[in-house]
Amino acid sequence: MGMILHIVNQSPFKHTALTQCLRALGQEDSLILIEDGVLLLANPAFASNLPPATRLFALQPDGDARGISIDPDIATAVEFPQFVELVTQHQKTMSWL
Amino acid sequence: MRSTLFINTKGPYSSQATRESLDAALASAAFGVPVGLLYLEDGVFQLKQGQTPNTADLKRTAPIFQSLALYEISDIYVCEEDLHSRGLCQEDLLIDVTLVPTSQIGPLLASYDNLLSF
Repeated sequence: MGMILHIVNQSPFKHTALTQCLRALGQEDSLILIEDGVLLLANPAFASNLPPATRLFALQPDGDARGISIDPDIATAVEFPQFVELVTQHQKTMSWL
Repeated sequence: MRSTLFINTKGPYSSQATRESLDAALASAAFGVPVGLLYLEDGVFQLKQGQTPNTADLKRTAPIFQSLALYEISDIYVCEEDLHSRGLCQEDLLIDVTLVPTSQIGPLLASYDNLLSF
């Protein structure tokens, strides 16, 4: 079971939520990008210290809606049911507002 | 009882976040929940002394912060770098806080059972 599932729903190009999250991300933590958070995947190199794709997830419907493709080498694409599973597989969640 | 950390990242008065977070924290404490408050980014401005929001027809939140001790809420954490990068120091704040370096934010989150963001 993972420790913390971090949730980022803001664009990294406009907000500091992703930066804040990455500086607090533990080795056993995971991160899921939802809503405008998926915009990072247009240019993943914009962020340094991203976790590996085994611990970095992106919500496929939000990527699709924005025309953003999810590179499996960067992040693991998930649908809503898997998002819920991720929540249950972690001890707690942390929403970065 | 599972502990809860309330994480605050927004400046005061542009939303109801300050008040909603404090309301939830005080209610939790009243039911015996071990409560912590963490202030990050512009959230550190919520704790600044010398706020006079009444001139803008807004309610002061300072009295609520000063009442936290009555509810035995003393675990109040402020990100040291975020405070200093905004030109503030501990003496500028309304109440006694524990300064936390950036490197310790992750372990602090890990040490609570529930995390609530405002």
